[in-house]
Amino acid sequence: MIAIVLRRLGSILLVMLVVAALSFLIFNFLGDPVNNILGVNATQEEREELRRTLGLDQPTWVQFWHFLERAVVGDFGISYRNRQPVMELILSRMPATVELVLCATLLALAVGIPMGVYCALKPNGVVSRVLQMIALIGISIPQFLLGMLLILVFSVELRWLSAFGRGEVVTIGWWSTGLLTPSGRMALIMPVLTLAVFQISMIMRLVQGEMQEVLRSDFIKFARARGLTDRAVNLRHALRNSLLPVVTVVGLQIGALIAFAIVCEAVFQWPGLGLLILQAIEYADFPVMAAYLALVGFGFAMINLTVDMIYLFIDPRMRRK
Amino acid sequence: MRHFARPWLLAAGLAAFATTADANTLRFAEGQDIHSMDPHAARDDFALSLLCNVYEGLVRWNADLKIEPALAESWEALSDTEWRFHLRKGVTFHNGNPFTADDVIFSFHRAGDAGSPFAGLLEPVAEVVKVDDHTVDVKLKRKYALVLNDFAGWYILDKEFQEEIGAVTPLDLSSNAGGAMQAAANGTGPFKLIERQPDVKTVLAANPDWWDEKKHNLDEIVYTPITNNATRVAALLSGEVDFIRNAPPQDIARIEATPGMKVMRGPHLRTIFFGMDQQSDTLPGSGVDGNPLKDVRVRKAIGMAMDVEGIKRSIMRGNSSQVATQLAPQMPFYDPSLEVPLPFDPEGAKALLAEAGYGDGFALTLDCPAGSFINDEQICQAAVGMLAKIGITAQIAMHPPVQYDTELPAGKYAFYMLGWAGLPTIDPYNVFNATVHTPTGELGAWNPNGYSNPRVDELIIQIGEEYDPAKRQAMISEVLKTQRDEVGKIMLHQQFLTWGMTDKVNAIVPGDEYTRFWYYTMN
Repeated sequence: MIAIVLRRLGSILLVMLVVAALSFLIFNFLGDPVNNILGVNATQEEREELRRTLGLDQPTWVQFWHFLERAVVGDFGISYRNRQPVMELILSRMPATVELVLCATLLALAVGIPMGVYCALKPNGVVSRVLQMIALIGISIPQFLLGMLLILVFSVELRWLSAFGRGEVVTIGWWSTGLLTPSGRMALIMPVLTLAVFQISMIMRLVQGEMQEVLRSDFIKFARARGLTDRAVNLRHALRNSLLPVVTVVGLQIGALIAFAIVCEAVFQWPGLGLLILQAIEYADFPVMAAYLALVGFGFAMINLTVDMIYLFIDPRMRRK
Repeated sequence: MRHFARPWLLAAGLAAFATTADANTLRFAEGQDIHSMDPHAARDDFALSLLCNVYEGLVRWNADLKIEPALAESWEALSDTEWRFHLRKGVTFHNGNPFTADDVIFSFHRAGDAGSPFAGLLEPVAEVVKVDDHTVDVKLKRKYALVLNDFAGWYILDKEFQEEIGAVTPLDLSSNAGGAMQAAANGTGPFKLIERQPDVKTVLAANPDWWDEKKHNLDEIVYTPITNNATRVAALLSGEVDFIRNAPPQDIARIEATPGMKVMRGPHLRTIFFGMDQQSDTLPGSGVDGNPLKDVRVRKAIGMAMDVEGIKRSIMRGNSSQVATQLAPQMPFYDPSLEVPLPFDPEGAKALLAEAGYGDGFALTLDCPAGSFINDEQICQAAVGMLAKIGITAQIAMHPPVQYDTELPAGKYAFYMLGWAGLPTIDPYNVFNATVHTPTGELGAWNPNGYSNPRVDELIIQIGEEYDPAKRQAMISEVLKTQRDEVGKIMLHQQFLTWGMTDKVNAIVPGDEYTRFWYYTMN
């Protein structure tokens, strides 16, 4: 067991190294931030001088090595664009994204599961067909389009909601939250909807599919034979057994959304990680990009490790391999 | 009445708006945030175009882009290389500290010493010497005609405040020394910083102790970066912001059609052109021997193939005007007698190509930035079609601006789009030394392998040193004429600025894109 965990940790380390190395290779094609810092009037000599100062004149593998040396002690350098330490910057942007993603996920679960259950129980009803169609649209509609449509309707035409930003936020320690102010809660509505629509559709289809499968299995038939009520059979037995894959997928989705809620954040000017990385790419802000990618790689590796561990506990067959 | 169904939503929505709708709060959105409140942290015209409201230099640009006194009341030349500035008395910084000669000398070292991004701007200055509390002497390394122009972009900081917050040098990105100015500012300008959340919002309030006579009636400026163009326009249309600079071209009509909104236009100092590799002996991928772009007839033919009026009509929607030389008409020392662009004449162009020995045409790569200039991508695409008509097969290579700005000066492009505004100097010398002079390491950074003429190079150096306006005019006109006649660049047009705002706002739209809020009023 411990051997398996150690082996996994080893491969995580390898994955993160590869992610970091790949990101450094990409930097080579991106251009550099020298022009953004020195302005267009800088001479060629000034540009070279700044490249030397920032270490950008070094070969890629040397830059990569310096990055690793500092990263192991948690120093990711200073953002070229925001001019503050990268870790500080990432931590300050994290709450906005986490709040957005968690709200969207909760909404998606609250709406998606009942919809899925309903469709599984009455697959041929008119309501089910309508719901399935809505789910299809929800999965196909691009996020930026949905976001812009919401802005057009609720900001420009009706003027109910703000088109951008988080509203007023309250700071608690290093965490900032918009949930405690009216304008903060209002600001969440459209971005959360935009993010949630895809998830609602996905969860609904997942629940529906899994539950239809479970409803056909023998133990459900036995449950009915025992004379249990429909409600007990459907919700206690069928739904519970179909939720396991849903939980797994939703868990991975949360990770993916925290890392890549870029489109939604860009549309609503949501000051989170997605917007940060987008702006970093535009500026060639290498310290932010490198740290961000390394942390995202780490996050995913940890999620995968946790999932693997849970499987090890649940399924004895895995342990014997 | 249907709103009654959701009274709570409506009420909350109104409350959200009410907090920001005070009479004289100018809510201003822009595509990006400034990266620091430190006016010496980067030679970034975008940042300075906003920071000019918080900080001031010894001199400043007025609404008509003429130099006027600011923190210096007057100045005189003691010799060709020594200037005396008489500082304004009774000026205080936002924190109440008095402004004195020590602050000027401190700011000179902070901005001008090695390692500062501004060292290049102040390079001609050897030393700033205190004469008394309100007089300084500026000693130059050589004759230099643009001291005042450059000083308008060099802002004065408060020595005591900078020492207090530990930011006596501009931020060093490799060591984090001097990084305290991300959200702190203490200047002498018409507005002072009262709140800043990087990438979220920056709030300025009118400085009640400003030395100058107050012409604006703004109490507060709330500046919000909104990256996405469509969202920024939506924020304007929904009344959440009052003012956006550079309305996206496709949205101008929409803004103008909305009641209570307007678009203010103004000529930009920036002119757009194609630069060309005129030095290399071969043009890789051209399919012909040698480098056709070295031949003036070929360059002329390309210029004659460009339907600049067509671009103005169908791409710029009227918001541009054709230019024959690199100077926009609003630039000092502009010479109207040179304004004779190449005729649009594809047939003549073909004949010229045939004469040059390229009757069967050739191929080239057209490198183009995605988003640096107004409609840059569409203009490049149009140019491909126009080149095809005279037998030149062009292939577009689009680049994100950050890549473009790295690769272009490195000489990786043979035929590329570029625009130049001569900022922050606002003088032909800036345009010439960056984009016309033969690259030397110090000059010609944006002219790699490009146009090169020894006589022109010599004139450019003299233009930088000559004080007499008449002599400067003659030399500048000669440079412009020579480059035009030798088709050193394929000139296209001058861009127009299109700023969107509500009817309440009265703005000025200067050619350098600076938001000088001290000229703004709100009804």
